[in-house]
Parts: sequence; C-alpha cells; structure tokens
Amino acid sequence: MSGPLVVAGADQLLLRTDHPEAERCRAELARFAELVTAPESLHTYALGDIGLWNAASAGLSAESVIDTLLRYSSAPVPHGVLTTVTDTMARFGSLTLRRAAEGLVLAGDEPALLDEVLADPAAAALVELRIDSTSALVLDERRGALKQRLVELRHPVDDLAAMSPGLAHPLRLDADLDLRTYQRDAVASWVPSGSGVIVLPCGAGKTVTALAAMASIGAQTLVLTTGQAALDQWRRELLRFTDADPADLGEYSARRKELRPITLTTYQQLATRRRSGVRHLDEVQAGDWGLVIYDEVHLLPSAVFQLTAGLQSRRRLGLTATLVREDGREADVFALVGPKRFDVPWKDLEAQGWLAPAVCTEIRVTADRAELLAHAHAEPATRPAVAAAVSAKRRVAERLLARHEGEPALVIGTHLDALERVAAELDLPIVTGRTPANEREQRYGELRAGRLPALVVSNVANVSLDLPEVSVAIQLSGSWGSRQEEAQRLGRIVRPKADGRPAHFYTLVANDTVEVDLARRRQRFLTEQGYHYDIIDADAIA
Amino acid sequence: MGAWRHAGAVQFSDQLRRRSPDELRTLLRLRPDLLDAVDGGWGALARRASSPISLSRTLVDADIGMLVVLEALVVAGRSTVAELDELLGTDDPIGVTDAIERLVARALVTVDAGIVRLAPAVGPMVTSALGLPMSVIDLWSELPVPTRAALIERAGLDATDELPPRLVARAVAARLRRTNIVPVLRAEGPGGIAELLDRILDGRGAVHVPSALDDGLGPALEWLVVEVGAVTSDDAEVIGVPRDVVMGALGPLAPGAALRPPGLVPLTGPPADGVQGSSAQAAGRLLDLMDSVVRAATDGTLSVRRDGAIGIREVRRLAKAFASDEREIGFVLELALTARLLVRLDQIVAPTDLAGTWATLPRWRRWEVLVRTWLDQQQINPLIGEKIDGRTVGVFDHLDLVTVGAPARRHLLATIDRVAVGEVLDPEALAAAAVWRQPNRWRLPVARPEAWVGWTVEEASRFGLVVEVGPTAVLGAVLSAASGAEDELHDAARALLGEDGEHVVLQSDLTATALGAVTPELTATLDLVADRERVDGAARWRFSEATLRRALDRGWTVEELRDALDRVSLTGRPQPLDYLIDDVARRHGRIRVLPASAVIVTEDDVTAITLAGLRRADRIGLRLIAPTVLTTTAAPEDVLDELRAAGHMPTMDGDVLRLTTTAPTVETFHGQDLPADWLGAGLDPGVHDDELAEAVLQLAADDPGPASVDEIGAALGRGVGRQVRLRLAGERIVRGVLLAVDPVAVLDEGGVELVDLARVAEVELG
Repeated sequence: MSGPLVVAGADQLLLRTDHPEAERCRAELARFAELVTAPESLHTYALGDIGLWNAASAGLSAESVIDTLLRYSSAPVPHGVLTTVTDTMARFGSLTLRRAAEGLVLAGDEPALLDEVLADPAAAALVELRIDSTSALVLDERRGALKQRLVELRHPVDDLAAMSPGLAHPLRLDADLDLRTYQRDAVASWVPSGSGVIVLPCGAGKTVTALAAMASIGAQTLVLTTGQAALDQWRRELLRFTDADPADLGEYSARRKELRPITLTTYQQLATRRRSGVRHLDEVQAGDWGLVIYDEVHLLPSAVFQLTAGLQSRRRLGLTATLVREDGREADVFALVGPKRFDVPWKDLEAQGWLAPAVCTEIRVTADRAELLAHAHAEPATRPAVAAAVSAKRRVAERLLARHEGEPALVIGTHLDALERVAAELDLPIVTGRTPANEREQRYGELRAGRLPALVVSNVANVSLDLPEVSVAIQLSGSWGSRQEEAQRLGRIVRPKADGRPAHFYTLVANDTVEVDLARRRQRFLTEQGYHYDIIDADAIA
Repeated sequence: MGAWRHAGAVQFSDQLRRRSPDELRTLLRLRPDLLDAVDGGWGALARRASSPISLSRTLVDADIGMLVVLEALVVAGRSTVAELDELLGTDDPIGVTDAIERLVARALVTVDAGIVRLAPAVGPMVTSALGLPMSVIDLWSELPVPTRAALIERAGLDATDELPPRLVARAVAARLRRTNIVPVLRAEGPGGIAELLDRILDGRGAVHVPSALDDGLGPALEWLVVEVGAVTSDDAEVIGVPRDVVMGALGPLAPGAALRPPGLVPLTGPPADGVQGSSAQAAGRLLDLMDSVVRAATDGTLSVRRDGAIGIREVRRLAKAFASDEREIGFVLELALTARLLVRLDQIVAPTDLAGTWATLPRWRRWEVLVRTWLDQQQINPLIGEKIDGRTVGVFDHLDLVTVGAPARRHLLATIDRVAVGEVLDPEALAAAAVWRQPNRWRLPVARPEAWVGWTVEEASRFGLVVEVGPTAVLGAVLSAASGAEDELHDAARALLGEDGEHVVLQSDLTATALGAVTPELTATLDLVADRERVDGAARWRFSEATLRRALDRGWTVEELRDALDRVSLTGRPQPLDYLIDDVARRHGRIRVLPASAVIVTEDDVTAITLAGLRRADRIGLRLIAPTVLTTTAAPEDVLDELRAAGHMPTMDGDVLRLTTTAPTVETFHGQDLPADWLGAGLDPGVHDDELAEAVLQLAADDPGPASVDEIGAALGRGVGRQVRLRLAGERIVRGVLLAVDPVAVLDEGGVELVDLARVAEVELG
C-alpha cells in the first residue's frame, strides 16, 4: 500500500498533500470526514458522529466510506476505525419521524431500538404515547427537543415528516443574477429535505445562495443574522438581487419591531425580552414562516436553539463557513437545523476563480524603548492595547497603502484609541460601532466607488460587510487571538476581483510584545485552514 | 503410618522408573519443579513428586476433568474406569479415560492392570472441584475429643481405640463420604438445624456466620461445630463443614462440572488487515502512554500513599492529562512499576535508570520489554477506581485480591491463538473454557472467574496481542518465544511497530508530526524542543516559546537548534518556526536570579528528584529549580548533615556553598538491577527440550530401570512350576514355587500368595 493517507485513529486521518493521489483522496474524504487542520504538508481529518451522520443522510454508505479509507491508506487501517464507521453510520436512519394519521410518529427499525432509547427518562418524557413495539406518538411541540435528545443518545432520527408550507410569498431572483454552479448545487442539495446546513467559504456568496433557496420555496421567511450590520447587508442584497418589495421587508431589531413577509432579525434580539417580560422570541415564533434562515449558524446562541427547537415543522437553512463551533454544540446544529447538505472547499473555489487567491503576510515591527517600557508596566489585560498602539505600525501601514495604491484597502483593528490615532495620522475616515449607520453606509459606498483609497474599520467590519473590490487588508490588532475573527477578516477581501489581482492580508505585529503570541494563535488557525503566510520584518517594506 | 509412607514412596519410585523416556519428559515438562530432584535419582524424584508443595503446584493447574476424577478417587479409593464413570454418573468412559491420562502424565494417579489409584499423598491435597472445605483427615488432630467421638459414632465405627489416629481419620472420612448423614443431623440437631444445613449444602459446604447469627441460627451453628468439626475460614466470617460430610450428601461431582472442556467454535472476525491495523494501533498507544507516564513522573509530583499504593487521585490526574481512563492508566502504572521503569520512593514515584535504558531502545524492543514483563506479571488489577471497603482502589492497592498468575494468562493466550487471524472466539465460551482448564487459577475474590478472564483479554488487547477476542499475528510469535523462538518475536514486533524513522514533518502551524514510529533519539530531541500533543496515533509535537526556551536552558545554541531541526525535517524548516526561534533567542537568558544559601547539583535528574521527594527535604527547605539543581535556604552544615543521614554522600565544592552528591546505593533504587530476562533471555520460566532430555538421561544413568511388565510376564511365563525369587515394588521379597503369572501366584510355606503382576520389579528363576 502506498496511498496518501495514514489512518492513525478515528480522529487522526493524515493526508500527505505531496502525494500524487492527495487531491482525489481529499475529495473523497470531504464527503464524510471533518477537516481539522490543513497546514502545508499534512492535512488532518477526523471521523466523528456528526460527519458520518451527515454522510449517511446524504446517502453515502458505510461500505463506501470504508472503501475510501482502505483504498487510500498507506498502512492497514485499524479495525476499530472501520467498526466505528459502520456502527456510527448504521445509527442514522434507524429511527425516523414521520407524519401519520395519528400525528407525528417516532419509529424504530426494531422493538429493541425503541426500547433502548425510551429507557432514557429524558427521551421517554418527550414521547406522548407508545403506539406499538416499534413506534411512538410525539407531540409537535416536542419534536425539536426529542431530536436533540436522540442525538445526545447517539441515535439521530431521520426527520421525514413533511414541513409546514407556511404562508406563501413568491420571490424571484433578479434576471441578471447568474448563480454560480456551486450555488445552484447547494440549493438543489438542500431543497428536497427543506432543512440542513450549506457550508461555503467566506466570500463564496452564501447570502445569494440563501436568496436562491428563498426563491425556490416562495414562502414567508424569517432571517436570523449575527448583528445590525449583517441585517443591513441582507436587506441590501434582497433589494439588489430579488424582486422583493421594500414594503414586504420587515426588521425586528432594537430599533424596529416589524413582522413582515420577509423579516430580518438578529440573534441578540431574539435572546432578549421586552420590559413587560414577553420574549421577543415568542413574538417572532408566532409567524407562519415557511422558511427560517440561520446566517453564520456556527454562531447560533443557546437561547436561539430554543426557538429552533420549536420550529421543527418549518423549513430551516443554516449558512456557515465552518461547522466548528467554539462551544462544541455542533450536535445541536445537526439535530435542530439539520445535517450538512452541501460543502465545497475554498481551494476548489479559488481554483475555479470564484475566490481571489490570498497572500498572507505577517510584518514584524519594532516598538521603541518607551513603548516597550509602557508595555512592560501595563497590566496583562491592557498589554494588547498598548502593543496595538505601537507607532511603527502606522508607518508600516502607510508604506503598505503606498505599495498598493489604487487598490481599495481596509485598515482593521480592535483597539479604538489606536485606530483613531492611525486614522488621524493617515488622514483616513474611520468606521466603528459608534459610527451612525447612515454614515457607515456612506463610507462603505465611497470605498466601493473608489472615492476613498482606504477605510479604517473596527470589529464592526468583521462580518457581513460586502466590499468585493477591496483587495488589501492591514490588520493592526485583533481580539485575543480569536480564530473566527481572523477568518472573517480575511473573508472580507477574497471576493474575486475584476482584474484577477490577488488579495493581500497583512498583520502587523510588534516584536517583544504580547502580540507575538496572539498573532501566532490567530495564524495557527489560518495555517490550519490551508492558507500560507510569510513573515517579514518591517524593514523589508520599502 | 510411617512404614506405609515409606513403602508408598518406594512403590511410587518404581512407578516413575517404569515410564518411557517420552513419558518422563512429559512429566518433567508438566511438573518442572521435579527437575531439581533429578540429581537424587528415582527415590528423590518420587519424594519430590509426593511432596505437598510439588503437588499443590501441579494441582493448581489441574483442569476440572482431572479434579472431578481425583475427587471420585478420593471418595471411592482405587477403581476401574467403569467404576469411576458409574460413580460420576457421566456415562463417558472415554472422557474419564482422557482425564486419567492427563493425571497419569502428571504422576497424580497410577494405573496398574486397569486399576486407577491415587499417587502417594495426592488424596489430602486434592482441591475439590466443588471448592469444599477441608477433609476430616486433615482436621482430625485439631478436633476436640467429643467431636472426634461424635464423628466416629456417626460413621458407624467401633473399636477404634487401638488404631493409629490417622487411620481412624481416614476410616471416618471414607464412611462419611459414602453415607449421607445430613438427614441424621437434621433429626438430631436443635431448632434451626434444617435451615442451617440447607444453607450449607447450597453454599457448597460453607455458611456466612454473621447472617446465620442474625437469623437466629447461632445455637444450631454451635451444635454443628461440635458434632461434625466445622471450622472457621481465614476471614472468620465463614464456617465450613468438612467436605466428607457434604460429599456424602451431594456426591463428589459439582453440578455442571464437566469431564470435557466446553467447545470453542471460531467465528468470523475482522479482516486480517484490520486486525493488523488495530494491533499496531493498540501497541503504539500503550508505548506512547507508557512513555508519557514515565515522563510525568520525572518532575517528582507523582505521589505515593503511606501504604505504598498510588492513590486514585493521581491516577485520575494522569488519565485526564493523557486522554485515558483510570483502568488504562492504572494498568500502565502497575506495568511500569513491575518492569522497573518506575520505582516507589519515600513519598513519590520516580523513573529508574532502566527507564532511561528503555527509552533508548527502538520502539519494537520497548514493546517486547513490556509484553515480557506483563506475561510474567502475577497481578491483574481491574479494580482500580472501584470502591472496596469504602475506599477507592488505587495502583498497587488490594494486591491480595488481584493475583491471576502468569500460567493462567499464557494458557488463555494459547487458547486464543488456536484460531486463525481473522477469526474470533465468543468471549463467554472462551471464559468458560479458560475456567474449565484452570479453575483454581481463575477462582478469585470480588468477581466471577469469567470476569477475570475478560479483564485479562482486555489487558492482552492493550498490547495488540488480541483484537476482538481473536489472535493477532504477533500473538503467536510471543507464545513461540517461550520455546526459544526469539528471532520470530523480534521479526513480529518489527512488523507490528515498524522500524523507527528518523524524520518528521515540520509545518507552519508549529508542529512536528511523525508518520510512524521514530527513533528514541529523535523522540528525545523533540521532547526537549517541543511539547508532545498526542500520546497515541501519529505522534505530534508543538513548538512554542516555552519549549524552545527549555532547549536553550539546557545549553543548546540557536544554531544547534536549527541544525537539529534541519536534520530531522522531511519538509525543511518552516519560516514561522524560524521566527519563533528568533523571538525566543532574543529574550533568552536576560535574567537569572537564584536566591539560596546553598545549591545542590546532582549528577542526574533522578537523584535530584529523589532528594526533592525525601521527607527530610521539607526540613531543609530543598527546592528543585532545574532538572539537576536544588536550592536550600538552610545552613550548608545542616544540609550536609541531613543528606548524609539520608544515605547520600555530599561533599563541599570550594567556598561557594556548592554541594556535589551522588545517588544512594541502598534503599530507594534497589530495583534497578537489570532482570536477566528483561531484554529477552526467555519468556517462559518453563523447561526447554534440551534440559528435559538431559534430565531423562541422568535418571537413566542412575538406574537402567526395570524390565517392562510384558518382559516380567514373559520371564515368569518361562518359570511356571519352578522356584522363583521375586522382588516386589516396596522391596519385599517373595520366594516359592510359581503357580501362575497374572495374577502372580507363588506357593511357599505359608500357602499361596497372590501378587499383582505390575508389582513385580525383578524375577530370579531357580
């Protein structure tokens, strides 16, 4: 055997990227294994419950998975790994939920299976009535909670009960919008089941894909977003790419409480209550939605899982660039939103020209003696802010902007004092959380139109900011090495450019400060995602 | 009785002498302790074979078929196969014959002219297949006079005053075994006796005293003790009735005790490739865990309880650190201590010099060391983490409960190895077969024998010897090594774990990943310059500022670090790693402050850990600040005194309050001598063929041996009607006119004497 794969364990499938068969193997692994890390030479995949159930729900057989492992492995595959595959995949679909005359019915392959799961007190409490040895009646309102519990028991149920259609609300995509092939495929994968998650990299057009899904359903839709900026972005895209009537677009947020055929809201809003004690979640849930869309589903907060559990009879679409959740609740996403229906690696999209190639560079700057002393004297919690303000960064940012003259750029940072100082010194406008929405939009518009060479932005620009022509990002500071932040910021600039130029992602790091370690953590994530980055000294920037 | 014993021993030596060389070799292989007696000739051999210690060694490995037949012989005395079969009610004369053959091979019974007899001294040693208490024969001298009288009466004997006590005891025992006296006891005993006797019969001769007392059966219990000589067991909570009484009521056979082993049918298991993969994975994991555990002990934080056990908290801490569980870590710790990779000191566990040696071996050799240690290890401790007597069992805790014994382990593995790779055995059937084969080995406290078998299989699977109760390719090699096939084992171990590689993949995410086993040198280097992230599967290390600083602390230069990484990398040196090295180098060594009144520098880190672990260390304020450096704030003179008192040899080094010390040569590291078989002088303490052949030759030289029965018969056939002089087994001489051959009939002055042909050792025709 001389394949590219080393199966060291179920959670450690190592793919040698320099092997001639690596690409073929990678394509096959992507169907059932989760990519854990993807640095330059060895990619690590893991076989987990969710990945294997996702594969099973997509119709992949255990034999096919095993065949892939055996075919590409360079050494005998531990039998335990193979039995893990067989046992885990066999669990999906052995329980089903179907709509019958008597109501929603949970059915098992065999009596013993139903006996086993109903021996669990929590699961039994969610079942209304045992109909016979292989089936039980479930009340609609407990459908989500039961699915969650069954996933916890490692007996995921295949929910085959028909979805409630919701109130009709036709929506057409703009005739000029030419959906990309993978976007069409993603929608086609999701539509038959009406539930599940589409995984697309940052910049691959998740919103447009979701609009296509909305158009194919033609029903009243609730869109859950990560924040106000994202909500505004959704509104823009809806108006730009569909025939949605502005009057039909509602916003249920801190500033407005509108429930319309297409309602946009935020996770934060649903997690709070009115002063009267009434939950916003309950008000929103009362709508007869035919589709609920979860933008950035990996950020879905716990409180909203509750809403989702109560919406199991509605079509659900999750959108994300990664299924990995920092809180490890991937199983809840699987149970309540649905299995992964579509996934495409960013490398493929880059190769097809749908994403701009990104050049990542870390630039080391040297703090002066006074700055290093200030850093040394600072409390640990404030050291990142001190490091973010190192004056050499401003000089390097200036040189970088000069190097990329004519290319729209973002100067991104977390610490506002430092950002404001840089903005003032570079004579650039700044957008932060404090910037009024209309002013923000105006600045973004100016950047899009080329009237601004660059814009200084805070964390508000981390998500759902659509500036396709921006090809340069200069990161002055970050949030304690957040992995998601790094990917999201990079995602802002990898939309393909009209002239095909690559995107440049610069991170400025002050030597001998806490930033070195924080940067290392952030970059580890990028490296694991498969991006390559170079480190250079500031002196190398002419 | 003395005369009887002597005669018996002599008779027995003749029996042994009649064995063919093959039979003798078999006997010595099955009872290797007899080899020590070979120098003394046949007499010494017979005496050794009849000694209690030798018999108990043999009987502990007797199978249930043998035990059942032995017990029937104890009850019935000498018998034919047919009689035994009838007594046992088995209707399986072939099964009886097979069991007898196994007993003959071990010299536990003899067969002359179709008559099966117990070999000398075997009867009292027979462990009941029922697990019954002692016989009145063994109890007799300890029984009170009234009890003896009661037993003699119940046995229906009279006029015993003139007889030797042992003869009386044997007679009483024989009668009791043939007579069910339980109805009589029921009729005569006080209230509650019927219930008590039922409990005793249900409990196979034993009754739990506290519960009997709780249930108001105290008077019945006292009466029974006096009447039949019931005795207390070691734990004083169980009273057992003499086995002869119970056997009279129940018969000699345990319900379900079978003459033949349960059948084992091979089932289809995982494919051979999968077995090999799982086997390698398990073996690799064990090695990695062992390595991690040994390294975890180097900082002197692995503590030992006052009773010498390692507490469950420590086990849990390690389990969490190494993504393992209590049972697995407990197993690894006990293995490490048995293999002498770790040693328990005053308050801590520390690595030994052997651990250093072990770490330098190729991976496959390290695995061999561990598997050999395990095969010879007596204990199995699946109870780690369980609560017993209100306390959670730790490592090397409750060892009185956990002895399975190496022979049982080997037999079990050999049973598994009978099926092919890719086939498996049903765990329950395997357990039943193992228990049938060695019931006395597997009858252990706490759990049923089947559970102990299961735990042993689990341990075997940790080495990759067994996968899903089926053999792996390496299992056969391990077992073959017992008969000297060392090369086969080496080859199999290499095939299992592969040759150690000398390179790893260095990547921009600051990791080094090994795609297989790597050399100990490379492992040591990477352990120094990076932290190991995974203890199983493909080993992976992660570089960080702290790890690179560690290397620089050890005296490495940046250039040496880069050179070392260049040498081992398959992928060059990633730029982020280069920058990391620079970042660390820029700041390294700027500050170093050592507040101390004295610095103690040891020659090795183990000695330093030992010092830090001493109770005295607290008194003189010793602190371990680097692998071989300790500091103290105590006066140097006090430090010198305390270290000398602890058995060390510290010396002053100049005027800088610097002490040099060497490790003590006594106490703590007594376990560090390399065991003779540590690296594979032989797996099995059993006997090799050459040794057996030599022993047989030696016995043959001692005495050319008697003629066979056929030869004796032929000689006598020529002497019918003539004067003969016969020397019988037991040295008695019979003279007279030979009338018949089988049985031998000799007419002398006292009349006709009949003698078994088999007892005739020599013939002289007149």
